[in-house]
Amino acid sequence: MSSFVPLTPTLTLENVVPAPLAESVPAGSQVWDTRLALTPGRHYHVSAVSGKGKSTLVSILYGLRQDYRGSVRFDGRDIRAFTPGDWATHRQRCFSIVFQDLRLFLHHSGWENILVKTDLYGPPDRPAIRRLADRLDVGSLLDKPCGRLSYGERQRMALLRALVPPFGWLLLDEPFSHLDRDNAERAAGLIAEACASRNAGLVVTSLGEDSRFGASQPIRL
Amino acid sequence: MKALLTKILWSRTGRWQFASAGLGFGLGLLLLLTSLQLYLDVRRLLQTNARRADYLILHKDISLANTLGLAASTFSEAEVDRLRRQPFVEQLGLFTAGQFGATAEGSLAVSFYTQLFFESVPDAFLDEVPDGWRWNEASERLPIIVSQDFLNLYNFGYAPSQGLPQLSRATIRLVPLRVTIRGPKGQRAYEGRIVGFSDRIASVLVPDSFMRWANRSIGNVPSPPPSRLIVRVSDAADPVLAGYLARFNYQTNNNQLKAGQTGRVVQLAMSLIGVVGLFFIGLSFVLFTTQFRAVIAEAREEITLLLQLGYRAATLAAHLLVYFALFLALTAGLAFGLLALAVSRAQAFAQQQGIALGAGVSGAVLLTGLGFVGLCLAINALSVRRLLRKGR
Repeated sequence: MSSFVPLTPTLTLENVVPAPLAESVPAGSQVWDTRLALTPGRHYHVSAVSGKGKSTLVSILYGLRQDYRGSVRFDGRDIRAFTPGDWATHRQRCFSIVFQDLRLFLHHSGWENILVKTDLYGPPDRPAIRRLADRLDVGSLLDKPCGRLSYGERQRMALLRALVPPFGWLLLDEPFSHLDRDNAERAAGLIAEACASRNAGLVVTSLGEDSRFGASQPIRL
Repeated sequence: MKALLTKILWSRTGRWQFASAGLGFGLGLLLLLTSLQLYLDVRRLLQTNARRADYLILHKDISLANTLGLAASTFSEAEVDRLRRQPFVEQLGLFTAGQFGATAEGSLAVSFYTQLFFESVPDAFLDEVPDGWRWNEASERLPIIVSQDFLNLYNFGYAPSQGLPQLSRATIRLVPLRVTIRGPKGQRAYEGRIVGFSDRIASVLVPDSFMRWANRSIGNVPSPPPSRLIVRVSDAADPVLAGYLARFNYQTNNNQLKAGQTGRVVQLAMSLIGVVGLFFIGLSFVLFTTQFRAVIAEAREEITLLLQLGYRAATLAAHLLVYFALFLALTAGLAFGLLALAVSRAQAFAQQQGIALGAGVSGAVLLTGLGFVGLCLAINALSVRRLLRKGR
């Protein structure tokens, strides 16, 4: 894993308006229908109330949605021209993600959910994964099927899956929505460490202001 | 092969569903190949038989008028020509009857004396032209072909009653016969040799060349009209042929016509089995393909998520196809094994009944089976690729 060189493109949005917001672009948005450049290695915190397009932004950056006008460029390359192969490459070498709806294999254990991702990069460092899991207080739950865990525990498993592999950009869509204060603090610490050790960029969304991302550049939707 | 990927992709699919689809495919393949094999075997068998049935020996019905010398049992030139022009006649040969008396005398261990007759047909109508089937005016030896039936009559009727030894086909060829022919123009003696046997023609045959010479030089009629005809027909079961024979009151060996008709029925039955087999395989093919697509559809969420985690569609397709190919190979292997077993049993049974079928599974059947499995794999490979390309 150490020899793996992640991709760290500049992510640029130019006059992007997603289809659901086409009729009602929020006035004064720093993301929609304007120009926004996300610089590699920097941290961005997108906070807004529901329905402003937080998940839409993450989905567009991750290549899951194409229903927008305007253009999104990675290092100047329009992502509309990406092939499925290009997206596979970016999902392996550029992005790591926690989806808002987590998207875990519920019939499979935490271990299996994490390893199916790390398998893309070579043999896993199991003790390191175990240490990370212990810090999030889910080390003892790694062998349980994810379907039998609480939502908060699942959220931490999804976070582990995102933090273990290499990445150039970390995308987190409301990662603390079901975490208590202590766990959220610990998770924020881990996220900061993981990004720092990789010199990676971060885009994190939350429902409201979140003091745990004080060091990030706030972006208004 | 990544075990974890296997576990995730196949965990939720119904194994029983897959297994039953495989069973359907295997049985369909087995049925198709078995019926194809049987079809080939029976067709070969019928073709061997048909070769005999295709030759008909025609003669006129003998009535009291013939006995009294008021009607001719021979065929006139006009009659022969008319028959020759019929569409079902491929080849026509004349029997020439000897116009002289003949006797044969056994020697060595087989001592007998008998009067007999000779006929001849053109060589093309013999079952096979045996070695030594030649005669010219300088020859002292006279080659003879007798009907297999005559040998049987001798061995099982004549020889036991006269205290003579029974003779195999091989030993009878070694027995020299003293053959004498007598006619108005003199007599000649020859050393006769039985050189072959005929299943087709119930007669005592000598070469055509000898017959022509003897009728002219010994007998009293140089070129007598033929009393019997041998005809090669394209299809002995042709109803037009049967109608023609009935109209002119020509007689023939009816069994041969019947054999032709029976063969027809069997062939039709085999074709039907083949069609049913084809139908079955089509059905099981569709079933298997749909089932495989259903398996993929059931694993759709997993596949989508794996693609979202960064797996390449080609990797997943290859993974699915390897399993599919393994499964197909297993099923087909099983079907082939059962086929070989069934075929060898059927052939052994047929052998017991005195029917010689081919040995083992025919190459054409194996090729058909392999081609079919390959086609199945290729079509499913395409459909998997297309399914995966749609998902992101």
